[in-house]
Amino acid sequence: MARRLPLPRSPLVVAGLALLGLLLVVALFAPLLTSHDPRAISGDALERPSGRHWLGTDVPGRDIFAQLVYGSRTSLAVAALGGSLAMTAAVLVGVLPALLGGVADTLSNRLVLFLLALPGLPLLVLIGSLASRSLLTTILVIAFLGTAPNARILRGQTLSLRRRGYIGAARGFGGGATYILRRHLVPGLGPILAVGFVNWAGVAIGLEAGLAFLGLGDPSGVSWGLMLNRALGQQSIYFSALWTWWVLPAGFAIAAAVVGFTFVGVGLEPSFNPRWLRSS
Amino acid sequence: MTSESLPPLRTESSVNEPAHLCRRPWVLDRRRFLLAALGGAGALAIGGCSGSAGTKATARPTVRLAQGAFGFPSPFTAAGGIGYSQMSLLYDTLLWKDGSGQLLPWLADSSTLSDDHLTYTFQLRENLRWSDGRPLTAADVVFTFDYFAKQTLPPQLTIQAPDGVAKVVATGPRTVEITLERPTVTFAEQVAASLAIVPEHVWSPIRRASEEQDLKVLVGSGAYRLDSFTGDGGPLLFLAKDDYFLGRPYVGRVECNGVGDAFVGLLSGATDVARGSGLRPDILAPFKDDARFGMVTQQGSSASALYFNLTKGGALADPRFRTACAMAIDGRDLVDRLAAGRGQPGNPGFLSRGNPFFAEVPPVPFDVDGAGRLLDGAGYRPGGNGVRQGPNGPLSFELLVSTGDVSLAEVLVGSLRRIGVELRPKPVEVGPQLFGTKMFGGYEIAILFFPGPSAGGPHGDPDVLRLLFSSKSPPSLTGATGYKNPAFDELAAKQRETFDEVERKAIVAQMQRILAEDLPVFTLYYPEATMLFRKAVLDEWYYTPGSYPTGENNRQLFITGRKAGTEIRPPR
Repeated sequence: MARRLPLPRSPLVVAGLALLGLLLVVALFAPLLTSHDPRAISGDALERPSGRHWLGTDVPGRDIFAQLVYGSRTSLAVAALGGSLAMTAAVLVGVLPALLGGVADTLSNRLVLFLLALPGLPLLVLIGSLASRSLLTTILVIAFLGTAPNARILRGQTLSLRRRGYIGAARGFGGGATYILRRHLVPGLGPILAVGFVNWAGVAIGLEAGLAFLGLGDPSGVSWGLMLNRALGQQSIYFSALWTWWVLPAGFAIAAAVVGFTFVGVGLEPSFNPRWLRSS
Repeated sequence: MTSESLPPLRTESSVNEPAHLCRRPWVLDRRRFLLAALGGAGALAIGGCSGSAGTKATARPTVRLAQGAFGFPSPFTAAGGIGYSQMSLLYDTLLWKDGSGQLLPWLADSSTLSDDHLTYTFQLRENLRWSDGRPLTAADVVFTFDYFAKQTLPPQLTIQAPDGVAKVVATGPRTVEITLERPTVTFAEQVAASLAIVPEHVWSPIRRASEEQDLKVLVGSGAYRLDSFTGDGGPLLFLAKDDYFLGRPYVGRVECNGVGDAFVGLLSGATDVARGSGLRPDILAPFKDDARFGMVTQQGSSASALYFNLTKGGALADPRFRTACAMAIDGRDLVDRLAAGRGQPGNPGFLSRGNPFFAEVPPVPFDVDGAGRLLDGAGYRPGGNGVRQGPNGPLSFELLVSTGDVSLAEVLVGSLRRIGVELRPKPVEVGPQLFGTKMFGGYEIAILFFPGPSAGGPHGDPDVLRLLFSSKSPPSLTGATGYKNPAFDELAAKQRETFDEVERKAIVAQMQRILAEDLPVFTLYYPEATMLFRKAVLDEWYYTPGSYPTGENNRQLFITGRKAGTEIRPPR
């Protein structure tokens, strides 16, 4: 039987949760943090930072601070949905066929191996170029990319759990499939699902920013990657201090979000990853 | 594998020497020191001698341009202004325009036009030669016209087969007569001064010229020969031909190498010229007070324009809708936001103020309320989400835009939203995706940017109006899609045959008034074009007046070192 895991209290987890908490607060209270609509033209072009526009304005005259604040919502949405959908798909492709065994497992495993063989970044760019450019498309593409690697990990753990003696014993004592799933498999897979979600959520933020930066995201959206796309699309942006209040905040925001998820993921690994547990 | 991971090179001596000698540490004894000193002194002496000789041979400047190869530099593949400029270093034309706007005798040292304006007679210079040493004759000129006429060239190429040519005959080894089907006022500039003459002995066996990419076919009569070409986007190196018929070209080398940011490249010394439109003051600042750099500007040659695809019907085909859109856009504000105040607001007659044929047309006032009333009167009623409804559905349109014009698109989205018109920007890369979609009408509304001086821009010969807006003109990238006005077509044909400039101006003025009324294309704004350059290399850079065939990188400047004429400046 899977043992109850202690809640990790490593400094990494605490630091990561603090960063993510800050991100969440900014996203939730965005309308309180800025009075500007991030999509609306509210000033002249390329205004310097001022009391009215804390980080100045972009070329059309939109408030950059408002874009930074509201961009956190996009990043969190992509992280939450991209991570959740990726893990859900990974369960469907990795866990269920492994439980069923036979042809279903063989076929799904081949599919996963095929998907893993595809180069991720070019595939992402290709799909991003061909598909309609919307936030939903971005989330689906990111979830698709996260399916195979997580499915492979989950399948391995499922196969491992199936062979455990206590599960055989539970079967021998008449435990049904639902009982075994609820009592043994879900607790056994839960930590991996949690770590996988956290890790992929961080990756999702980076990928969304990358797609938007490449101009393959939602062109009418508000995101940090899009801010970088617009800023670095400016001719000779480094000729003035413009980049310090346009490029740097967006870059730092992306880095902070990715680092936050990474810290939490890395901090959880020793407690939740079966390999770590076995080795300890 | 990196160079660090390579195994150490085994020299012949190290292979033959005993192992303990190979491992002996290198010691600088007196004998080795003397030998090294002697060798070094000898090398310095040789270098010094060759340096003085070399200085004489390479005293001519090298011009470094910030763009790499823009396709294969043959006349049948050259695209855009950059591709044409690169090709034009290898090939010559009968005439050529300089920085004063004059058509210079080039391959032809004289030309005459018959009284009926139908027959041009060109007398070629003596001793013209191709780069492979064979003579360039009138037969090559005849072949060029015939060959172009037989080719099916993609519409995005800069040179197309000249239309309206009845016959081209060689009446002597150096004399060519070109007879036109009808008088054409633009023939000298648009054909004689732009059509690259190609050698018959090279191209005659080639059936599809636009597919030919063999370097061996690049046999031209131009002032330069191609020394290096590694493919599209890669570096290009042109070396001057000392036996050029005008004399030894002033610029000895032309290096074309892609530089990410030309202004940074100019400051750092990686390139000698950088261009842009509507430049921010902070970009210009480092160059303005630095005596090493020069600057040339031109108003009205660059432009951003809003294209409506009339073939889609509905509101797009309704001039009241198009006018309302134009009224909701503040041209002055566009200049301030997107061109740092350096430029002019758009003109509904398309031609810019700097164009000699510009005519005042009834302006489209910036009047958001008036635009709303116009839409109300035309039956476009307010609908849900602030988007008006027309008889054919909501006024919601996809806006095709290049990734470089996204900021402009975002301003327009806000401007038109105020009158209940929704624009959904679709940014695409400049290239086949933008050009193909625009050219073949796969769009609803599009923004196109005329990047600088060119014949097809608002600063070019007014015949550009015929090429862009006449329904008789072949489809083109910058042409209006689906626009048809018989009165305009008639005027467009008439101006082309009118040699009297005053009369032609009157006709062109009428054409501009029609365009201002119909608004198939609305010019949003004209950002000021700016060219910055390193004076020590070349100090007479210019935008070619009238802009045909290439507004920048005019080979006349590279060959002569001067803004005007064919006399070559002595090396400095």
